[in-house]
Amino acid sequence: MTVKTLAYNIPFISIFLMMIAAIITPVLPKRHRIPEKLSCICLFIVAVLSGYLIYALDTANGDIAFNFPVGHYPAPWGNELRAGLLEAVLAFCYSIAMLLSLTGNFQSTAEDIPERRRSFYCVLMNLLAASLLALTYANDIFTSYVFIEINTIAACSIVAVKNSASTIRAALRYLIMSLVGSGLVLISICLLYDLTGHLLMQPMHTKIIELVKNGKYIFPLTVSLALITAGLAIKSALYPFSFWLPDAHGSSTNASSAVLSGLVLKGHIFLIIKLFLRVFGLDVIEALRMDKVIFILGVTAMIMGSVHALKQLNIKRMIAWSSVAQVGYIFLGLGLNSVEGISAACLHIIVHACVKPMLFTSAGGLSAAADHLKSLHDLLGTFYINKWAGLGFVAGACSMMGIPGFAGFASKISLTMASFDSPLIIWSLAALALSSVLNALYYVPAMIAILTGTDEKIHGVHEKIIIPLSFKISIGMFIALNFYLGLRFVPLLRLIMRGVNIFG
Amino acid sequence: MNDGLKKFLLDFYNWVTGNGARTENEDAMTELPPVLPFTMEPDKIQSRFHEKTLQERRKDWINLHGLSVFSILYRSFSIITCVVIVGLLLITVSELPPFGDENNPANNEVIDRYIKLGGNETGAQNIVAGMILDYRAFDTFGESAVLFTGAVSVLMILSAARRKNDEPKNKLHSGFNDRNFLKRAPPIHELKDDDAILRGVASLSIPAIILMGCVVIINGHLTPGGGFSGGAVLSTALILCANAYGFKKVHEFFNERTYIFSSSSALLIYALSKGYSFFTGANHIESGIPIGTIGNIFSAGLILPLNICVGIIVAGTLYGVYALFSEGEI
Amino acid sequence: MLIIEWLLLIFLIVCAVAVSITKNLLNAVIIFMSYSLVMSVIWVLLRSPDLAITEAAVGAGVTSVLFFLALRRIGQMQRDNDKNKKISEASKN
Repeated sequence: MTVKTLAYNIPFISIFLMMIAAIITPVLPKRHRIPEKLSCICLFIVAVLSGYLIYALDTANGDIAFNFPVGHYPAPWGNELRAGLLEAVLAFCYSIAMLLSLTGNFQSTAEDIPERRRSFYCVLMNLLAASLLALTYANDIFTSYVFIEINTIAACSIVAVKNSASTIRAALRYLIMSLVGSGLVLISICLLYDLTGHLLMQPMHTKIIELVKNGKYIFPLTVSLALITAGLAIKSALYPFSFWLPDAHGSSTNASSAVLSGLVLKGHIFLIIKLFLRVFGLDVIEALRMDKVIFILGVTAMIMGSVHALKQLNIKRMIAWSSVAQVGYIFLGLGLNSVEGISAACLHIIVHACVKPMLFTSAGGLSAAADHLKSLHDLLGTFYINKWAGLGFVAGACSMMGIPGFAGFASKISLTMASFDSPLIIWSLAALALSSVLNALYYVPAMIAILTGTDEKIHGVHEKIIIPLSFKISIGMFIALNFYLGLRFVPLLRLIMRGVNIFG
Repeated sequence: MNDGLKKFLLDFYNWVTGNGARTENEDAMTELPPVLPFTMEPDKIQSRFHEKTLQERRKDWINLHGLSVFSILYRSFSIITCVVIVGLLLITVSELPPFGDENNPANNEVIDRYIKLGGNETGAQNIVAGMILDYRAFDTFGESAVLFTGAVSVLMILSAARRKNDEPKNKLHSGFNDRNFLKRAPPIHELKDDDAILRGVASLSIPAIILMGCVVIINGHLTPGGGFSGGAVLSTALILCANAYGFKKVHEFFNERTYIFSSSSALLIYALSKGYSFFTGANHIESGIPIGTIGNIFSAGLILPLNICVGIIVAGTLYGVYALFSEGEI
Repeated sequence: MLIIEWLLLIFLIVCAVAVSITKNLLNAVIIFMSYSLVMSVIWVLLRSPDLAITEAAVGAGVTSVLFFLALRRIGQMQRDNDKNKKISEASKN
């Protein structure tokens, strides 16, 4: 064992910490917002532990990734977790983003959800965090499925928490689509088990390589790959399957929108990455021609997501459709089917997980400044009422457009660099350029809307609203993270690339 | 070709040619607002009879036929998708390894160890219990967490919505006044006092059902069954009790507080004991949990207490969901 | 034995198709319940009694009870009854 004992146990400890926090929350007292504070503390501990894991793996001799057998039985018999640099970076990013979106929306959560419900809401948030961490670390395809189930139910319930007719409708739609996705994933897992006789990812990989080399069972293998990719694509809102997303993300409470858009989609996408790299391997993916399909769908999502966002007047729905476009970027990187492409996709996962919660949080702050109206016409000049939210929105919008210095630039430039080695370079560059222009077309008017105000608003002749300290802190942290990712992304990208190289 | 389709085609033809006869519906729509002649100004009369623009026609057409066309499209699309997926899966299944063949990829060293050494390693006579609660206990822990998540969601959406003092501070923010649509619905369960047959049968069968559930749970590591199926049996006893004697009777010993407390603590015991076992296993420390003799009631290490925990969670959750659906509270 | 297995499997497919075709929700739930019962018999024939017990308790028992409750909640059962009454009255007249 080359990592220290503490680092070795971190994946398990972080999953179990969030689970136990979820289990004891219902019996805790509901006064003084104790459940929410407990969630925040646990997420903070997980973030610190993941940070330590990154440090331990970074400074260890050589590139290492380790397996953690869950229980007394070794690999092909018991369950297993696996942690490397990439998983550690993602776990760190998830916990930070979730912590900041919970603290940033501390006030709006209290306004939207009554106290009795908030305790259950925290249970679901903790379960969501646990399932995201488990999806990141799991090395067993069935364990991943179990945590996908937890993720689905918790995600649908945190949409429905706001209890108005529109959110319930959106949640039901989301639930039905998600269950279709789960069903496809489960069918595919059964097929894969029947073909390989394993549920753990590495033994499965050797078996699949053997099958492809002998030319046996190619058709069932292709079908199961297509089914599992389709199932996870529905859950991660790849374009043709994404019509549930704007309702669910646009109508729920701000904290839910931030977490759903920034993190829950990414959990499923990361599972696809894991499937491609660790279970099937890039060569098999290329042989079965799945990379081209993913690439085409990604390009379509990039463009169509932005086109739909252009039509929106409601600011939250606009940001939600922009998520569809951003998911397209990730799939574009995945479709390049190279280590560089997948690293760029992972960088975009991180960038989007840090920027989207900021956009939703600040959009919530802005609409709170305009009497909770969400249309762009009603948000005129709200920048001057809630300057923190305004700054956050401007920074997020600049980042989404890919202006140098902001986080979005980092992932866009990495995707561009990655596509130079690919035969699909022209298509990829054209799609990136077109999508950036479209992004600007809807984010710039939104920025102009919040920045043009009447004299009264600019000079402060309006009702002062009190901006809570937690909101200021989390927006400040988000902006700092944004600039950090935008300016110093090269070391991070190198870290991710090392992680991707030892991922399989 | 049926009449509806003919009418639809006729309408479509009329719409395309433009100067064709107006359909009855369209006439009905233009005639609808009955305006008295002396209040009508001349320019309005003109505007009423001006040639319709293409966009207006499109809108009218969508209003008239949109739904039917959509439902036709929807149906054909869903049938096509279904047929394609069913066909694809059937072809796939026909190409899979033959059912029950001994050279199948699934008959490998994994299964071999489960069957040959399962009894000695886990101490469970029922190898399925050994597999799900010892070899792959992490998955089963996840499964009970799925149940817990479902129960919490239902409790949050159905129960907590209906308290009177539960209104959020900001009504405007939470979707205007449509949030009251989930207000407490009247209980749908009518209790008849003179239902002697049901009560008689219930008083006889409830003890038997409870006994059966306990047997299935406690013998989970010896015979087929275990926490999940035993818990489901126990929950039917609770449901029967509620139906025969009324929810108030059940409420005396099992209410929302007991439910939350019992399932949280059962899951916590599960998580902590299994967490200890996982932790020691991963760090190669002896866990010190005795396995006992195969076939005894007190054997198989943690499997018996875990089965009891799962049984408590399942029984409470299934009854709780039933009570929430029918009464609106546990 | 083989004939019984075939019969059960055919019944299973018929049930599955019938659930999606039937218009009356109450009938759909009842057909679904019988589907679960047959499925649990098939699990026994496939020598997995664990699954059979769970399928019988959850698939045929709890799920159907929850479906019935949901139907009653949305008033579907009442509506069907009314329709049947009207039809019977009309046939009497």
